[in-house]
Amino acid sequence: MKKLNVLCILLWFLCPSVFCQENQKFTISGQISDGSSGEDLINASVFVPHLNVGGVSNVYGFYSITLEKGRHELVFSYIGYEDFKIDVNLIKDVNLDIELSDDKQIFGEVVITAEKEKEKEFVGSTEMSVEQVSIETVKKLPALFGEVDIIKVIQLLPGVKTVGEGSSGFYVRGGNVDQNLVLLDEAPIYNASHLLGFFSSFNPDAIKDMKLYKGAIPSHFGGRLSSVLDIRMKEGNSKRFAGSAGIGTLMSRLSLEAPMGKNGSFMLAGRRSYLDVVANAYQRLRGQDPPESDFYFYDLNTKVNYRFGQSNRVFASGYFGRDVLSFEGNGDSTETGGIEWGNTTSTLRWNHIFSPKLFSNLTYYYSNYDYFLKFAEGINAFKWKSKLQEHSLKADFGIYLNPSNTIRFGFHGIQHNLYPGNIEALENDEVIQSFDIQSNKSYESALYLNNEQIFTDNLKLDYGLRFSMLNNVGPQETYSFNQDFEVVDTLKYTGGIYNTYWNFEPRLGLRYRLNESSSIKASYNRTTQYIQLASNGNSSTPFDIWFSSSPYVKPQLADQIALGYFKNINENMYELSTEVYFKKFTNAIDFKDHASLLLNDNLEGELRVGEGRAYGLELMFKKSKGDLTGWVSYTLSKAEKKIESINEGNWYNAKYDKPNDLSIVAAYSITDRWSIGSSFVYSTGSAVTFPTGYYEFEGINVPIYSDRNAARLPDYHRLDISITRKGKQNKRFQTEWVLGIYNVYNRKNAFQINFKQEEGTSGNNYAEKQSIFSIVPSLTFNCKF
Amino acid sequence: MKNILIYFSAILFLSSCFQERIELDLNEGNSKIAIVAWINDLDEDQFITVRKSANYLGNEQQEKISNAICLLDDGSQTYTLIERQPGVYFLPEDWVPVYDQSYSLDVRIDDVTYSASSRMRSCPQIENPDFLQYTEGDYVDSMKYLALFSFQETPGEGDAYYAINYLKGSTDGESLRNGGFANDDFVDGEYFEDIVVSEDENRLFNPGDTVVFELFSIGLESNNYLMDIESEIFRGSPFDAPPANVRSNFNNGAVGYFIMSGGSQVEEVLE
Repeated sequence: MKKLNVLCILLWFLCPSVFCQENQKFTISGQISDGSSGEDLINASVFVPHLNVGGVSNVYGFYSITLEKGRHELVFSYIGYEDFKIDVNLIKDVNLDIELSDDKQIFGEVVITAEKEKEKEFVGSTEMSVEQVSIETVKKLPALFGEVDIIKVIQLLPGVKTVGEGSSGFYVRGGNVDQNLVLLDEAPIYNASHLLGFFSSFNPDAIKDMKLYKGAIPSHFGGRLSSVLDIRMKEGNSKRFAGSAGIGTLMSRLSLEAPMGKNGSFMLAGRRSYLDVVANAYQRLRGQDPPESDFYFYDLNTKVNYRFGQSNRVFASGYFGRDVLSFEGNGDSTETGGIEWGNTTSTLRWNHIFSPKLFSNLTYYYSNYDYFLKFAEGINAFKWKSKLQEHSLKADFGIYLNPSNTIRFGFHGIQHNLYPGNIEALENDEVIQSFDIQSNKSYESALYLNNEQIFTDNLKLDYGLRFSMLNNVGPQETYSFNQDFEVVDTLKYTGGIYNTYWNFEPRLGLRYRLNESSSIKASYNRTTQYIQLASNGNSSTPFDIWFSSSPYVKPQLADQIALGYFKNINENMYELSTEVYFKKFTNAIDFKDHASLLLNDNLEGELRVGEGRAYGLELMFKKSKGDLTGWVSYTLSKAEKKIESINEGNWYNAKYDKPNDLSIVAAYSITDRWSIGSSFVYSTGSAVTFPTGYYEFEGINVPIYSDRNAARLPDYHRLDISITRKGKQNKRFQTEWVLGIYNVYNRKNAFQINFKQEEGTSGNNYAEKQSIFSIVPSLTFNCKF
Repeated sequence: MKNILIYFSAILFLSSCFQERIELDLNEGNSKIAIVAWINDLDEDQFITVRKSANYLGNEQQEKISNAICLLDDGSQTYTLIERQPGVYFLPEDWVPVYDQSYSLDVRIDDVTYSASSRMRSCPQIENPDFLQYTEGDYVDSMKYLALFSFQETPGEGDAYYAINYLKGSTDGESLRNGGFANDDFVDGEYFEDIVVSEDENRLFNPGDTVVFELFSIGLESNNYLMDIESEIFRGSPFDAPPANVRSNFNNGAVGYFIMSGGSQVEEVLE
């Protein structure tokens, strides 16, 4: 009886209507999609004005809202689309698929007209520490070499910092690059960059939506400490054959999409760079034989989806990207070499609607990142190959219990297979020596449960719990270390689980509405990370080495609290958000001085463990309406670590600590055909370690350094602009030219500073600055049909 | 592996379009006591230097420290080093090396003693010093030669070697940049045949040259110290670890290193 009472209380708590109302309730559910392309609309709003209740569509466009029997007016809206109103006489459960019209949307024009409901979401939802930029906005902004890149736009948002000049890596709220979970259609991309980091792996023509969680990470995400970047590919146009193409300074791209019968569609998008082609043609024009070398990349995105009746829908999507770099020695040199690296992912998903209130999705994904290196001279050669593979199964359920409660729960299992390296020495193509760095297998699994609950008009809570677990499985050889980090024992496991970690990860979000136009929000979340990247350099290289938690390496934990104030100003013309956060890292890792990470069979011996902390203030002021749109974002932050055997056990700046970070982004439509985009960035220089003194040893000036990362590179700032001219308006074929200038005032920002000694002298040391880009003009032609 | 790193350094260099010397206002660190003490058993003057570290930029020279008390102890006998030049302290000529013995060096300055210890290891003999015509691809330069030699590595792990060759009478042998070092990981007890220390085009030899070959047994710890230095002075590769102070085996905050090493030296005329 007591158990029954507890259950009744719980049910009352979750769905008071069950016990308090007499009227019958029915559910309206369905799909919200784009009327012209059939693309699912994510986070489209459904609102019942007279009841002041509503909801949003999920990532598959599915919505569900339960209302009392009777007549209701429903308003469906989505950013940049016409609102759709419908009167429904609700006498039974109704399936209502909605297509919204984007008549206002003209090719190339950025429609940042936040609709009323969207604005309500900004103030009214529990979501905080979340950034979302539409692909249309991304395409409007200037880009390096004219190549539109969503990661570069993310770097303009508060709390996000760039790894370095032109790099596709990013740091979020004091977390390292490997603490970002970058998902493409739910599959993680382990090295999301091309061309040594200058371009990201994401083809903007293939992307429908992206969302960055910097905090308040929902419980269905896990495995990384600092952020989740959730990128979704387009489903493909289900109404007609369509496509787009672009020819740029460095690469060209083409995407095609079309319906597959009445119930499906596909999308195919590809890019290839032609640095090598241009360079070779240039050499031939000069009457010289081009060098025997290649330097290019390509990627391919593909997706198909098919609907089987009202309740079942299947998606299959894939990404394949590759960078190739090879050379043959000039003249008499017999040296040849090359590297290749790339990601492959494939995702299979099955949406099933059990009932109008219960939506489910089952996902299987495979993700692979590998690289291969070969270097040969004469008959001798050296080969190195490495890869990381992941298989995963995720079952996710959403219960739209009532307008006040939306429950989400599920299971996620991942098999990590890490192959750090196989090295072969060859002579006349025969292997004369082979060395394997031990591979590693582990299983990461999680159960999660979350409820988004409206308590009162003013108070809304989003609370959840994730239970995660890591199991290391054999065969495996592990090391034990003494206090000097020397190997004192070796343990061999033949098979089965030999080590287990588990953690509870609470997630909590709270919104308190102050009035119609402002609210305060707070959040707390704990995140756990079981695999991490061995990286201690400042440059982006393809040679990633990931390693798993183990008996010696405990999982890293992060606890983050954030508090924010959100306000819509001047009848929603402007959005203002300000957040403060504090993040505490437990079992934070760093590498000892002079750590050797490449081809090291005992990586754990190079590792040092301690704690970290990051805190900051983020401001975002955004104008979303009118001819002039854009934002100003400013971050004041600090990120530090404390590890016993590093920096004499004192706190030191994390390498990604850049206290001041300012971005000013603007897009202005001059006429219907002409527009201009610009961005200005300023940040404190990266934290680096500089020498303060020297002594001479056998003719060499040996540097003596200050504290770790106690110095700074010079401040970084840059202005980019772009001018877009559209062709004559034609619904079937639209063109545009984009002229871009990166680094308009030609500032030579420091990529790094090296310290050198004049040859043959004593005491004559000097500093040398390396910069990557000066002013970089670009011209891009885009068309859409 | 080094070639690969150079190759990728070249890539980074190509992508790094601009390099320029800059004026930088570095913090001035507190000067530290810097003791450089590499003593070997070759028949030549053995000395250590005692100085203060200097600011990194500004062409500042190290201040020499006089009147330090420097003592070398082999466990049974203590030798006092004599300051013949400011900051340079020489071992007495009657000093006799004791092999497989741990030496300690104490340097006393203003009532603070800086101590370090190092093991004296005997060094294998240099064998078959020879010369090889310099080639690059199919091109053979008949007037330029590489120097090479062989030696039998001492069985037993934990050994490391520093080797250098130079034109007799030049100062090339005094710079670590011209030498090479390696330890016996994976090659313990093997015969090292036709070792080429340097292929630097600027350090090739011509017929008629008298070339000095030197090999020193330095031990693993000292080898790691030289590796630290190498990683600090040849920076710029994307694989570089963050800058960090090189290790020291002196206590009380002194920088520098104390190495005792057996050595082998031969001279060979390039015919």
